[in-house]
Amino acid sequence: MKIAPRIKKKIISTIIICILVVYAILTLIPFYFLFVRTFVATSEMTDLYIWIPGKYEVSKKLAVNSIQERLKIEMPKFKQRFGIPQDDRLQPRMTIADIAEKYDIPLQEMIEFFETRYRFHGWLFTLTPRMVEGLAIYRSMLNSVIVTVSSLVLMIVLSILTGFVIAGFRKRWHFYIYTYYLVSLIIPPSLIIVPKYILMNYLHLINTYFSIILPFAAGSALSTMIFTSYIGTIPKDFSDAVKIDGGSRLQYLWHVVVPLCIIPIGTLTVIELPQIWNQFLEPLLYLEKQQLYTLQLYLRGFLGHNSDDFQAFNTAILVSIIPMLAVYLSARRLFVKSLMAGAIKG
Amino acid sequence: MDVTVEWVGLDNFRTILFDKDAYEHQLLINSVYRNGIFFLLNYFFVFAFGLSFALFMYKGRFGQGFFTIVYIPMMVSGLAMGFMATMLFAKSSGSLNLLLLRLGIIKKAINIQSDLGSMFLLPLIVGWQYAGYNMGIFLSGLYSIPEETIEAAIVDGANGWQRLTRILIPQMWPSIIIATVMCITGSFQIFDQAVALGALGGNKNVEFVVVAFFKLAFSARGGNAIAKATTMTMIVAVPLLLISGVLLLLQRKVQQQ
Repeated sequence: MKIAPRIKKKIISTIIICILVVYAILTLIPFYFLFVRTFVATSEMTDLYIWIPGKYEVSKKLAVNSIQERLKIEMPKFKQRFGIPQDDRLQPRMTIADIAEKYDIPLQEMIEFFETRYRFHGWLFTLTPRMVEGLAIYRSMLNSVIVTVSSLVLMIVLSILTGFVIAGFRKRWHFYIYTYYLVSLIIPPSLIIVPKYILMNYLHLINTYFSIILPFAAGSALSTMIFTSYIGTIPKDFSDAVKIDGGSRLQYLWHVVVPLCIIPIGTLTVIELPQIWNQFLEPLLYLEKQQLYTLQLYLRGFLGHNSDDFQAFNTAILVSIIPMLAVYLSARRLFVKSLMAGAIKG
Repeated sequence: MDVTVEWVGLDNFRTILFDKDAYEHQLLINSVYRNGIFFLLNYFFVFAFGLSFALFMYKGRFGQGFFTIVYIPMMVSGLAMGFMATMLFAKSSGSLNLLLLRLGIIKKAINIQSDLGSMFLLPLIVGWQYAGYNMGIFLSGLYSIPEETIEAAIVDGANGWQRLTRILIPQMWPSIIIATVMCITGSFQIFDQAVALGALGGNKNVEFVVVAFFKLAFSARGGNAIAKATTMTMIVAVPLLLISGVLLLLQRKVQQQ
């Protein structure tokens, strides 16, 4: 059957659009499910919830020990909320019906309280400054921020300097340095984890952030390549102009080259930021003290410490994804453009 | 960490490569085998996702929206991605399992921690995560093909399929090689996702090469374990390095043509 070429093109276009739309929806589905599951109590884990669930059904036979175990409610606050004297001990087997009777609290009020507690347990638990291995989630986020920002800033500074010197390859050794970085692209990192650890150990950098920051600061293949080629495209007229005006090389660097390099700085940031933030193996190796844990290490520790509380764990996963996603979505134009450009260089 | 050195010549190599009873030998063989299969499946997805999307996006303008969405999985850390995968595919409580069972699409739940489950699901998930990255590589290759070549082909009467197989793909060799090298290097680095699936807790189905190194070198096995682990890294990584090097040299040659 011969179809006119124009119609054929239209059909193909439509099919392609359908495929892309389906893929886009499928890509977002895992995140959607993750979000929904933060509201699904661990005891409902095996039920399929496509929407955010409604009220959790709380029976009046709910016992105190369950509440303590599953919801990790702080007893003093609980007693305060319902006007129970702080000194009264609540027996583990007491049900909320018993409590309501004993302390003259309307049962309905207690039930409603727990209905919402169960739904929001994930968020309440994860976001209150909870100590997991002596570390709260906010501290680990801060640690990640410290490591990421320092690594990135140092990398940019040193790579610009490298690019500044070797752009144009006027001398032989310029080329060797460039090749050295290039070769590091194909060296599998797994080849050097053990020697690197021994080195860090020898330099007494274990349990410091330097063990993570310094390798990044040294510059990667990508950073060197980006700045070398970009600075290489700066016309000689600029440096001549500075020279004529009596400026030094340093002034040329600071007043001309660096401002011009905003674009490659943006590209590099976009590519390296997720890589540093999402790193797991190196922090796992080098950071043993729990106060130093980055967000990823915290997430893993969270599972270890709360292995029976999947609602909270799913929330922790979502919370750990949010920072990077937020950065990405707020600068998505820049991200997409730079990732494309990065692929071209690569 | 005990770093005392004891010279044993090539003993470590001999044990790991040839001593069938040695723990390290079996660790090496199993992890390389597992990682090899992972690489092959991952390589398939590199093209299934990356090349397809690159070709689709090349043909027309489908808006920034798709690009934004494709790159989202890349922003998620490997660890979180692995945990999300268990959330979706856990044997009795995975969301996608429950959904697919309910819709009748599958009869039995897919267990991501089983051997078959992790063998097929993990490459899919990693391929999905890096779909954007691979798409970028192929797109840049496509954009580097001069317009005139394609127009000449249209004038000569080549139809879409012929343009694809005779013109576009051959001209994209440099990108294909780069995607291959990145896939090789990347596949044998897989670690975060494996840990999320329980690699450090005893799940043997996700014991990939880096997991094996890690367990050997940094667990308290004593007795020269670090040296053996380093030997193992060399045995695996050096051939990979050579293959990547050769491929990249090949790419330089092709690009110069």
